Amino acid sequence: MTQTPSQADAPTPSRSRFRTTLVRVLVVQVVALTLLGLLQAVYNVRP
Amino acid sequence: MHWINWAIVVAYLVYVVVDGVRRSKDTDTISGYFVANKSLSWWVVGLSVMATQLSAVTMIGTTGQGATDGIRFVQIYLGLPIAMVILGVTLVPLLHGSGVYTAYEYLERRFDAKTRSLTAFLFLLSRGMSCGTILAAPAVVFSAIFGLPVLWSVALIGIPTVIYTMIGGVQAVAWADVKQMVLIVVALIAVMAVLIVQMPVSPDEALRIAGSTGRLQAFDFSFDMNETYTFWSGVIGGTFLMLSYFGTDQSQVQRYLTARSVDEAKSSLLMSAYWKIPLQALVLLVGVGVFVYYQFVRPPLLYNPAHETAVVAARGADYAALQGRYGEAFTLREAAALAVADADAAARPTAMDAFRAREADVQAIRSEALALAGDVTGEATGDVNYIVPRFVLSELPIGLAGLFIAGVLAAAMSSIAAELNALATASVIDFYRRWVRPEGTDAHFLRVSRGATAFWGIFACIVATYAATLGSLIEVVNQFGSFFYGSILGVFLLAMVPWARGWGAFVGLIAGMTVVGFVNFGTGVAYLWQNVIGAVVVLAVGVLLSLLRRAPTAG
Repeated sequence: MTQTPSQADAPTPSRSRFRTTLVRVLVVQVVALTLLGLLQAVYNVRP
Repeated sequence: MHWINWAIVVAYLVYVVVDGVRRSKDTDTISGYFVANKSLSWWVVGLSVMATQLSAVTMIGTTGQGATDGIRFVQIYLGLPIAMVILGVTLVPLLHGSGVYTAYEYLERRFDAKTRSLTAFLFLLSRGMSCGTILAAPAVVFSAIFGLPVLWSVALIGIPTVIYTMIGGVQAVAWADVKQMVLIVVALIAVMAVLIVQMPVSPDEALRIAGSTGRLQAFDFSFDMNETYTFWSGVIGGTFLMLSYFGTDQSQVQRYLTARSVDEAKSSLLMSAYWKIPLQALVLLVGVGVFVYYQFVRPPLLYNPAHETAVVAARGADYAALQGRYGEAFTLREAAALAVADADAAARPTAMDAFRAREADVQAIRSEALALAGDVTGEATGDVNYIVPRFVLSELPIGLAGLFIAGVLAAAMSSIAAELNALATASVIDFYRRWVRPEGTDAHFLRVSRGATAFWGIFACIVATYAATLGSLIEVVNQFGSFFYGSILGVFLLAMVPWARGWGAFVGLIAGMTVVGFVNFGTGVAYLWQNVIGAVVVLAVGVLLSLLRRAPTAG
């Protein structure tokens, strides 16, 4: 059976999971680094 | 330790071994034993990757570092998410898709047998020794705290790990990692919760006290190549370090070779990228919490109980005098810490100056006590690794202390099991099957693999038992390991250059390690940058030699 282009290009479940995970990674990193930066900015005093 | 805490530890050890042995039923082929027939889900592999990287040193050493130095160590992991994304689109598809058992096997397909054998040999050399030191660090602390001979502590951690790794192969290792990772995170969160509940000041005041000593400096944006932990060394040097660790070290590569597909392997690495920085921040903040807690509850003058006992026995009068001064200095520091907590914005700078001066007084007395311990015992006296275990055993409620000790054991075992599994795989696949007996049945290779796991397990236990006496030799070996980490990464990067050839890779690898050796001994360049230097030298030399070799043919 011939595959249409749209079927051929459709991402597999694991591939779409990879993309979703990648976006989540970026979000978690930005949140974590922002929180650490805020912790430093608000509380830290360089002796 | 209370019997309930011991019961928790024993229950954990029995469960890990029984569950590991149960997993052995699917490992009757070398594909099952070494790569779980590529059948594991991304989240299992992801947790296994994280558990492998998180060793007992993280639980006792890094938390202690948080207490003494603050959270700036977190910068070393800034490159990890970047490295994971790069690996996801480069080496992971290459290695997983090529059907190899080891990363070094791929190098023979791409270059030649000598490059494969050299990189595999370097892996066996460095990881064989480091496996012993990974085992030694918690064993030495346990033996000092519980008064056990070092051999017993080594056996407590080593024997169960060798049993389930040898019998169950990579499946047992990966599934044990999953449970161990959960246990580690639960233990860390429990300690943090107890700290928050038992702290005599509010979290806001606690952070103010910690911040006044500079312990909440997460980022240092200065560009100083001699400074180990800066934002830039973390982002650039850290990326190269993580690329080489997760991309070329068999103990990590073998984790994601077990994934069902290339995409699941990529997702497993991203899972680690997800959680590493928050988890590492939690580890360090537990240490910072212990530091603040000990402003209000008098900590021991020497955290290592074995050293304390030896000093009391040999120089009791001197130690008692130090204890008297320490008590007075602690009382003054406690008052100064409370002043920081209570001060309004205007009075805060003065209160912080006073607190820092009192903290310096306390640390000066501690330094005298450590020097005294050095004189008496003749051993290294750094006691960073003992701070959190002492806190856990004296301050945590019954049950939670056992949970934390089980967490430390879990962290040690998960790392050691992955190392043993990887060492056995490289020994059998890259040497035995490659050079000694290319033809053989799966049953034969399985027997040899189990024997190799047992051999490396016994080797690690011997190194760990003698680690305290080997001292500087162990440090040299560990330092030697860092010489070729970046260089091996350079070989794998070179593999992606289409015109690179085996001769260039082999000579480039030797050149990279040599240059890093000179940089290490001849300059003050921090080790994170040495990974960058090693990789770049291998790439440059390898590409140049490959082009030179190609030139006559092309002409």
